[in-house]
Amino acid sequence: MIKVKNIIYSYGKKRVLDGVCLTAAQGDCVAVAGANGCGKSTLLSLLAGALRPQAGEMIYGGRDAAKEKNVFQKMVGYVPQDNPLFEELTVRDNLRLWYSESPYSMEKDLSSGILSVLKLSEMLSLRVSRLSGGMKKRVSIGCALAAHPPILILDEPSAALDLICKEDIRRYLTMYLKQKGTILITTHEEAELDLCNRLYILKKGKLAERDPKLRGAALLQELA
Amino acid sequence: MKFYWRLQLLEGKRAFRKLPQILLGAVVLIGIVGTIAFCGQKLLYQDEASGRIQIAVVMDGESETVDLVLSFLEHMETVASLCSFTRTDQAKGMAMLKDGRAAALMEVPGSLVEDIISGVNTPVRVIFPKDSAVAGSLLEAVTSAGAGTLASAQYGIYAAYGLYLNYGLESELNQAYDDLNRIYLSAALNRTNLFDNESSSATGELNVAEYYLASGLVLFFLLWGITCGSFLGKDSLALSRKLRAAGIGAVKRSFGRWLNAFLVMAAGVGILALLGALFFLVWTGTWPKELLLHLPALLPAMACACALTVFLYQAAPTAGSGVLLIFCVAVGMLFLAGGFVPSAFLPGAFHTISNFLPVCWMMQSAGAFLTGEFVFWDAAILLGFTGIFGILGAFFVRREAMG
Repeated sequence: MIKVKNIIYSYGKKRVLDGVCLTAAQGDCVAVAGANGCGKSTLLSLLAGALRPQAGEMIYGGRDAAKEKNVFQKMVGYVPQDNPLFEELTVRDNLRLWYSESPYSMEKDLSSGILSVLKLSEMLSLRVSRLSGGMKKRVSIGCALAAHPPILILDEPSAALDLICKEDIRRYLTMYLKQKGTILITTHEEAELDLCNRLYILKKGKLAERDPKLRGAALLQELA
Repeated sequence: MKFYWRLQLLEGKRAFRKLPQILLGAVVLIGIVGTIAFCGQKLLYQDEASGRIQIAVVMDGESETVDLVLSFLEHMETVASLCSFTRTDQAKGMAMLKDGRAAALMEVPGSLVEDIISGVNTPVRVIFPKDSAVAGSLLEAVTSAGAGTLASAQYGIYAAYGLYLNYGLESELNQAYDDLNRIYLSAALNRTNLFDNESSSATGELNVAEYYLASGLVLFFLLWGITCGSFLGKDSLALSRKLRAAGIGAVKRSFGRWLNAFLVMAAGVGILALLGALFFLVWTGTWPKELLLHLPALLPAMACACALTVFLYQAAPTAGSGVLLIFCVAVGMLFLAGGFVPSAFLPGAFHTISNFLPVCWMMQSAGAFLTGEFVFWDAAILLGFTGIFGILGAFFVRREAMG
């Protein structure tokens, strides 16, 4: 599903990603772990098409992202670490922006489809500025999934959320994987790491695959 | 529907939802602009703008003939349209001069008319205040020029007089003296025989009220952006990256913002113009149809102001600092372009600089709205500036998204 080869990205003279390679098959849940500031968010931004790599190759479902224009729009749903929402508008307005289908099918999806797990239909008329952090995160995920993409990229989706919210998101991700979606996630939550069948560690610009069962002191040792 | 147009519709909704607040802000802006215009007019022309130049006249003793001359002067059409004479005494006259109630003080000797008849040059002393306003300065210049002209004529007459004496033509002297006086003075005083008349004004083709109205309109357009910070401010990094991932690059995003700002401004100006026209109708009983038809002349200025606003909001680190930046840039540029004090009264360098500022051409556009004399070239220059600010705005949007 995803093949990434020799990705290079620098901020000025500082090289953040130095020849990164990554693969993920359909139905995989890939975790990317690393210390703060190591470049995880940059990597996910690149994988989502928000940034362009300075060198390297990105193939999604057999399509070269550098050559085909709409690869990212059609294949990737992206949930950045902060909320990418229009605060002055309602949840419904924000969702409609990302929903390519009719408003009717959106409402139906939210009330009885896979997105019903996120419990968004209760807050459709509320302004985003009035929502809590957890509710905003659910809306962000809802926006990312509005176009039913086969790949979901999440940058620390559970950061600073309460336990109920974390559990709802985890449940949703489980359902998404059962439907053969591919997930790339950066997280510090063990519950979310448990969902992943592959683990990459990003250190000093290099990405290395490790045992997905790695936890506790062993994981810390890898990250250090 | 394509994603971009869904985004535009959503942004439009966000912007138009703010329209009532923006209009309220606009009313406050109009108040500020009106105050600036009033102060500018006062600063530039003091009381003379709304009335005539006051001249205090002090006479030595009582003289019916001097009263006669003063009355004659007051009723001369050219003088009467500009000056009012107030007879007073020396102390009161000086006080009037000091506190700005009089632009000049004339000290007329009681024997003035008798001396003129008997051929004696008795001077009338004219005193101007040290910090005289524009009208005072102009009067001073005109008086000096007039005195110079008369002096030149007199030098000529005296030279001819001396020449006649040298050649022993005493018998012809009286007739020659009268003829020279007549010829010199008719040539010197009736200057229309010698020079073309050309009116010039510091405010160009616009009168003072129109000039400040044009300046006020431009300031209004520039400051309008202050009320639009909620939808013209920067996107969060997360949103800008997500939009970029969805194919909305810096140019599209910047253009979308400009379009929204422009549409909201056009709607707001349209509403305010209609309200103004209704007020005018109630006040004067006439519908200002012509002025409303000239409204499209303002579109280039509005487009340019919106592009500048979008650029400044993207260049500033936060929306708050964007507001401050807009205010400083608007006031600074308008000052340099002669929006507060006409550039004729500013150093020459300012005039040169102002040609490279969009505000200078926005003033022309606002002037075209008032006079109905639309100049295509001015509009083209403004659209050029709009493009430049659009590119700069897109550059900052891109820089932000790249982190």
